[in-house]
Amino acid sequence: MLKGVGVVCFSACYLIALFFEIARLRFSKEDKLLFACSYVVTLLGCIAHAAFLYYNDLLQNDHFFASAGGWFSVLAFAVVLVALFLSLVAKTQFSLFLLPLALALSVVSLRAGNVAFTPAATCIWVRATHATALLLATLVSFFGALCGVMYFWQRNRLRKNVAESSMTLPSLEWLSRMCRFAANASVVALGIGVAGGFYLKVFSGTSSQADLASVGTPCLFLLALLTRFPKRRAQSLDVCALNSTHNIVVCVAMIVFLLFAAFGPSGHWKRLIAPESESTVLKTENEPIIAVPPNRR
Amino acid sequence: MPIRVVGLNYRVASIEVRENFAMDSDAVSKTLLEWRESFPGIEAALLSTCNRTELYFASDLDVLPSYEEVFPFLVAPSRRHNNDITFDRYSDVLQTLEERDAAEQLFSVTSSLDSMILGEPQIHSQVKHAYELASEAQTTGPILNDAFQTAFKTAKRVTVETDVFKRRVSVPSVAVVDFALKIFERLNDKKTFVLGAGEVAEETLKYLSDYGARSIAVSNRSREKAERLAAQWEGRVVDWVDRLQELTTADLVIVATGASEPVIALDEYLDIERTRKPDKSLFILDLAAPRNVDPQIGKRPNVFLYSVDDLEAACARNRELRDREIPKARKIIQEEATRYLTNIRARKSIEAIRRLREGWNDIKDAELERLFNKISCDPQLEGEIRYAFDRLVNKLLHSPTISLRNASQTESAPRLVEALKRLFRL
Repeated sequence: MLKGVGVVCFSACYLIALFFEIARLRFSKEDKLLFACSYVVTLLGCIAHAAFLYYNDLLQNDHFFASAGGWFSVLAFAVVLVALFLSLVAKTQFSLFLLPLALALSVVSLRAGNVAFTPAATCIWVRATHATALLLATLVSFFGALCGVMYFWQRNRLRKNVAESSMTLPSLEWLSRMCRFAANASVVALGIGVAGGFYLKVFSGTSSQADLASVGTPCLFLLALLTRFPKRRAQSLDVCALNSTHNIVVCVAMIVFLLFAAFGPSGHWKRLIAPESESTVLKTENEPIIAVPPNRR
Repeated sequence: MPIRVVGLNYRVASIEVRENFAMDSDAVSKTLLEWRESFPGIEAALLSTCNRTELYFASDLDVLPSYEEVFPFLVAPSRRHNNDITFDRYSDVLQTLEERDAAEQLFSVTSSLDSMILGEPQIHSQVKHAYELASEAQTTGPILNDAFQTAFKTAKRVTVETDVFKRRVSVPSVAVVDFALKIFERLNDKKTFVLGAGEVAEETLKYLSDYGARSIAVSNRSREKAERLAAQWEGRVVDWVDRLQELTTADLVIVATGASEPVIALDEYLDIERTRKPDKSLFILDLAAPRNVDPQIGKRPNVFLYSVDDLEAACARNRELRDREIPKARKIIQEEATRYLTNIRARKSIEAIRRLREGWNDIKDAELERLFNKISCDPQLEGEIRYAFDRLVNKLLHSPTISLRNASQTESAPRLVEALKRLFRL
């Protein structure tokens, strides 16, 4: 029954759930009902999404994240799972922010549909790890940035004794813990991504040219690493604010780098998943590069 | 009039007056047993709390006892012998309500809308207890049973459908719920340190304890008072001279001393700050006037300092939001009172219809009996005749039945039932 499910099905579910989340801001009286509707619709979307991933063979290839489309789709699925989990645990409207991200990733997955990693024998896993780690770092820092913004918002409310608006925010303690977790996790993911990139540059022998993404990411990693070890006795330092700021900066920077990698003139993304030397490249006017791996030809 | 109430409450009667009418459970039970002997067949329930004493009574009978007659049952048994406590003397503070007003009074009281502290949770259980005592004394019947069940339902609706009780309006409750729980995820793993051992500190501790605060330390200039408060909350006592040391690990600090100078100065806090974990929040509640904590401390990282004025502003905001919800609650009470009175009237109408139908059926049966004694006919014809008589009676009764049923929705129902009773001698 679920075999014919497509991107449109689960995206529509996420969109409807998003409308319910927006409605919760306005109609606080019916909050429980709207939350239940939103949760159920998201859950249905999640089931459809899982079926889509299963029946499209995305998880049954020789290697995980075999195609770029599937890669983004799995990430969107992960974001929705996180949204469902946080809706129950944090009792705040994280879905309001995470569902648009999931929708964006779904759209990207649709766009990136047929582009597949070239099965270059030596580097395919390093390429996949490099890309996955950096995208995960972006997602984790996005979540951390979200918590960071909420942290500053909640702190401002408490400091200035401002009345609570329609949106209930989690406690500062919880937000602070999530910021710390996201900051640490994003540094680890960044480290793995940067190490993968370094390996590719040095050992893969692929044509390499320095660009904003390849230079900026290691710099960001070093900077992020420094903030992980603040001077322990620097008492005037607001560690929670530092973590929040860390996440916001990493998130913004990573989005810039990713956009540059994907759409910039250096073709970082294209070089990563389908190096010209290792695959047949079909290029037509007004169409993206479609790299067809040898075993699929 | 099916239901009446007579009583007095904190709005019109001082504590000295209310003392003459206050009763404990035993006194209420005793009074209700006396009532049953004096007024058999008349339902009654007695609600006695520190803020009110109210006697609800009701009956299907046309005549209820007068307020003057029931007044002795309102007086505490221990004071009934006092000749000074008379109906005439207290008539100006006694509240007497009938039918809709009486029903609305019971529903308002149960919903805690008539309480001294709006939304206090105890009144609901007090009304429930009063109803249980009346049931045990067998002074309740269909009218009061329905009234109390509707009152509990109304209270639930007011709680669920309005935000009246969701807003906290006392300083300690606002401090804990609207501030402390916005900073900390939970309180059961936090250290609470209380400076001062007065009533304010005690009340705040009560709220903190309700929300899970466990580790409590108390410090006061008078060690004896500190020990008393600490013992009450299973806490420990900290010497006044060691109070700053305790601040290095505390998460919540309540300051409510009578000192005229700050008991935590900025330079003292800066010394402490060096030894505190940098990511640990500190919630300070300065409930003293003049303030006991240097306001500059509130500007330090991870410190959230609130004075009475800050909390009062939040209380006022909550009060305003709560007051906007009161009309909604009143509307619910009016709806439920209308439904309750309609049910009561409908019950009386149904009873009148039943008796009318019984009377006519008796006449019909007697006439049929007489007819069949005079004529002999085959069973099929006899059946047809009986069927025709049944139809005749039903058709004759149809219009008055519908009129009575419709009238039960209005206040004219009792008059109509009364007219019916007189016309047909029911």
